[in-house]
Amino acid sequence: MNSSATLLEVVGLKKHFQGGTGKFQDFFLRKHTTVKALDGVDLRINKGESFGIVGESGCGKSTLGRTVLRLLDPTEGKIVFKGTDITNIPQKEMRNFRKNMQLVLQNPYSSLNPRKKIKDIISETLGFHGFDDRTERTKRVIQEVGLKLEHLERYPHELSGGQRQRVAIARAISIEPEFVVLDEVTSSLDVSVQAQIINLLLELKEKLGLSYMFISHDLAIVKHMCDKVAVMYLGKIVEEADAQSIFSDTLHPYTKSLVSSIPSPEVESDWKPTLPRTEIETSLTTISGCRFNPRCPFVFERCKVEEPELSSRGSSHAVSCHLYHSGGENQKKIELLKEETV
Amino acid sequence: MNQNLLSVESLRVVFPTTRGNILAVDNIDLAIGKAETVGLVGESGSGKTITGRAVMNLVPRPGKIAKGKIVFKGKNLLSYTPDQMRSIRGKEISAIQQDPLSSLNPAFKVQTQMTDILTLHKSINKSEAISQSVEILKQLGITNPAQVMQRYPHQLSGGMAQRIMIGIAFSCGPSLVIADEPTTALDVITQAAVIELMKKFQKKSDTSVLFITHNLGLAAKVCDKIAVMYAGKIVEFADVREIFRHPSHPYTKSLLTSVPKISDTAKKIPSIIGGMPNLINPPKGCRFYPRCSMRIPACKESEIKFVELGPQIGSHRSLCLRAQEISEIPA
Repeated sequence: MNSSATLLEVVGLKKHFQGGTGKFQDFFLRKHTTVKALDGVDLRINKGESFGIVGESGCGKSTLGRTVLRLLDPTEGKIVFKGTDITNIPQKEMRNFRKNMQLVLQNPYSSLNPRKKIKDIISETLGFHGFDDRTERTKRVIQEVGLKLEHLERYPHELSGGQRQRVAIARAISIEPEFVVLDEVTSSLDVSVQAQIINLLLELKEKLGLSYMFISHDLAIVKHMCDKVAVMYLGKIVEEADAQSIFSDTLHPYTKSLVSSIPSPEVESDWKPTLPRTEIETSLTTISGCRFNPRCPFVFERCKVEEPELSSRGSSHAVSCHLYHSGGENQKKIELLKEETV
Repeated sequence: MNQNLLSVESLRVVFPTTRGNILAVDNIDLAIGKAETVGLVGESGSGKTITGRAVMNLVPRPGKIAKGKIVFKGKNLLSYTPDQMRSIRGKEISAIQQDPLSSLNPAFKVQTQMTDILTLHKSINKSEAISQSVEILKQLGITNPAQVMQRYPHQLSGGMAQRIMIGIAFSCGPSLVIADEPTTALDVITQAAVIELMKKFQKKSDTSVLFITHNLGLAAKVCDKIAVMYAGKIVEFADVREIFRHPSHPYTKSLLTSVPKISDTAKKIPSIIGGMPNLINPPKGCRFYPRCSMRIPACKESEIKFVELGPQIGSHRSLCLRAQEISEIPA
């Protein structure tokens, strides 16, 4: 197996949601507003890779995860999974592909059916995808995620949050997928349990050769889990790099504020967040030029008129920021941004 | 002891159930000095929130304070009548809760909610209260205070709502603010901004803060002293530097290592096996015993007493038989 084979490729993916304006009369006038949850996302996930998506709430990271699995229909763009374009195939055929792509959600309290026993929760998925050896598989997979056989007879409410998340993971890997979307899987868990789940996910990835799309708002976890990281801001990827260099060589001003805002559990280092100038704008308002320009501390004229494109800087680093495409005139600002990077 | 603004003395909070009493908070002592920030950290279910609620005498039913004293400015709050307590809440002691959108009343405008507390406690008229509220909003970095005042909570973003909660909590110049996970529902950037604001307000009115959080990173940056809670007990208490440099309880130690850090290079994160014990009839000995990597048979035999490690009594204590030994292992 070629390790750099592309598993999933997304080109120019857009997902727009339409909503009301909030005004009564506009309902009859069929006026509506558009939220551009995804506004042109390109990414490529290789086989055996875990790809992190980070960003603030509302930046479109969960929408991306769901659209890639075709749980939401894209407005525009292309999704290619293992060489097949799955953008427009009917949902019925999509089932065959879902055997290979699974989803684990944030809240294990709501993602497991409270009326079913754990064994039924897992074997339902197996049955749906036409596996015959359901009982054996259920037993094997529950042990694989570090639970005991006795847990199979229980109901979700009898398990702790960490155990439930293990069940959700067991269900996802039971049908032997190649690709799993993990949407904020650890954010409802305590730190000690979070560490257990992360270790489990890393172990399973090695053992079963899985590829992950790891959606999270916690950069420190993403660094542990992922090989590559993409930072999203209002529906677009603003920076993409391997997990090491996004922290050591931060380029985009938004990534910079994200990284510097994390309080590290050490008393030796000072906490000096470089904060954006204003609060997040909603994706409802149209911003001309760079999406981050109203908040960016390094903003200049060009940012307000022209939208930057994601272009590569070095072999495995891409950034969409005018600072790096304007010749020497912004060298000072770049140095300033770098200086604050620890 | 008298210079402490608040001292919690052998507090015990129980929740009666059909299967027995749950000891949510068991015999804890905690002191907060003037203008000090004391962090209360621990996992969910360790009793942090209930401790915070007990300080305001607001333990949710059927829970009740079974034992102990809450001494605030030299007086035991538990002996106050409900009316006396009401005159203290919001004025002397106020709270910031985790989820700003559920702690603001969805049926009232921001203006009403901000001015209510001012007219009640400061005995000023409505127009004065409005102008003071606008002033507070300006200090919170809100650029269009007049418009924000007319909004309902659902029209605010999470960060904005939490700023307003901070504004309300500090509006009467309280001596103590109980901040219960004030930034857990927020994004990192917003979190940083909100914490900065909270510190600014705290400095201005010399307020003490009881900072309840599960985020050790945040606790390291915000608090002066830290109390680590586990299964209803405070297992370690020390100055923030001491806690991070010389953690002296196995639980504190493993909690610190299980937080993923950006500076880490290893992929695998050390985790703590197992889960929290049942708080109905907890074991007699150490409650961390089943999960502890440094346990010895003596740990489960008798009740563990605090070991003093600091230069003064109470400056650094750990609820562990082997505290001395553990504190000498480099963190």
